[in-house]
Amino acid sequence: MGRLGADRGRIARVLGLALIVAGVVAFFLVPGAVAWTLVFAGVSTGAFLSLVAGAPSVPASVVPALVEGPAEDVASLLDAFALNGRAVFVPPGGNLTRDRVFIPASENEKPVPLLDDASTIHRGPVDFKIGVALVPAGRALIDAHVDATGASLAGAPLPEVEGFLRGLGLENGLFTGLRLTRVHDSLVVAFSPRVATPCFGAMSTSPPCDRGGCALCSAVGCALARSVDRPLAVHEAGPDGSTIVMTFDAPPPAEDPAEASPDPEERE
Amino acid sequence: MRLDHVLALVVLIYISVLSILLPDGDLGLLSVLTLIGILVLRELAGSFVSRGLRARVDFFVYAGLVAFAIVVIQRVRGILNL
Repeated sequence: MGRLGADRGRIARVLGLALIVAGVVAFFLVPGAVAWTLVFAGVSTGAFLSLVAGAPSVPASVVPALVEGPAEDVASLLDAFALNGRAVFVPPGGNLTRDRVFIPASENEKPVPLLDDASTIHRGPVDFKIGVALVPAGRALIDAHVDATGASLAGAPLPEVEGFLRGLGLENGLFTGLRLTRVHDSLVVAFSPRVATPCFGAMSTSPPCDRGGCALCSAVGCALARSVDRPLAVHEAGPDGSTIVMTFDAPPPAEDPAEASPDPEERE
Repeated sequence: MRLDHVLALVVLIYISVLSILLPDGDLGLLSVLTLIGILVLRELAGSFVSRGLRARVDFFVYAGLVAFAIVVIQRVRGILNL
């Protein structure tokens, strides 16, 4: 998809408008019956381009509900259960058919217990501390964008995931300036929200960014977990000025030792 | 490439080709052929596109149907010499 992918919607709208104007201008400049053909071609293609290719992937009417979501309730739930561990975004796999975000009671307990669609509360592997697996607040945003774009996030390389997330932010007016970089064993994402996200400010009503966060943080976590196709733990997250910076623990996939060493004797 | 961009590109090419082949300004024929093209495209892409995108394409289908109705009325009036 690449970096330009995010701006294609805007380009399509401008191009469509230009075609409509060109069609109307041609009507006055071109004599004879050809003028009607040019008007028809210009206006119809321009309108189609503007309305169909320039459409936001998430309907504007549902964006506020998706962004706000049940953030306040989830924050209350986490406080009530004293769940202070950092969130782990878990992509679909095994008995889990939809994404979940697992929030352990204390610092990240590894490995993440096996999750399934039916259970919400899980005993962690360390000291049997409790953890909850919730529906990520940003999953609906990701699903809507995947539905609209036809993109497949599973196993997608980082530049494609970056393009996907930039598209989600720009086309729906959610956030700008998204950057996704790999730093050693971590994935670092930074973006500037354009909507009033509950992540900011002392009056924040949503869970902190490292405990599932608002819909935008959650959407980013979901997309990245799907792309690496394994549970992705938040290492550090929070607002930095007008930007949200999230760091995920994501060591690069281990190379197959058989492939890494071409010498058969060395393998043994 | 996004599916909505592919749809828009196909329609752009299709209408451009129609305009080259029918430059004499017969809007009735152009609109009917465009309607047929969009209907075919909608059926082919139907299961792959989102509900929102389908609704936007449907808008053009309804506009095409209105144009088609006008063409039919004109032809009938022409035949009946009204």
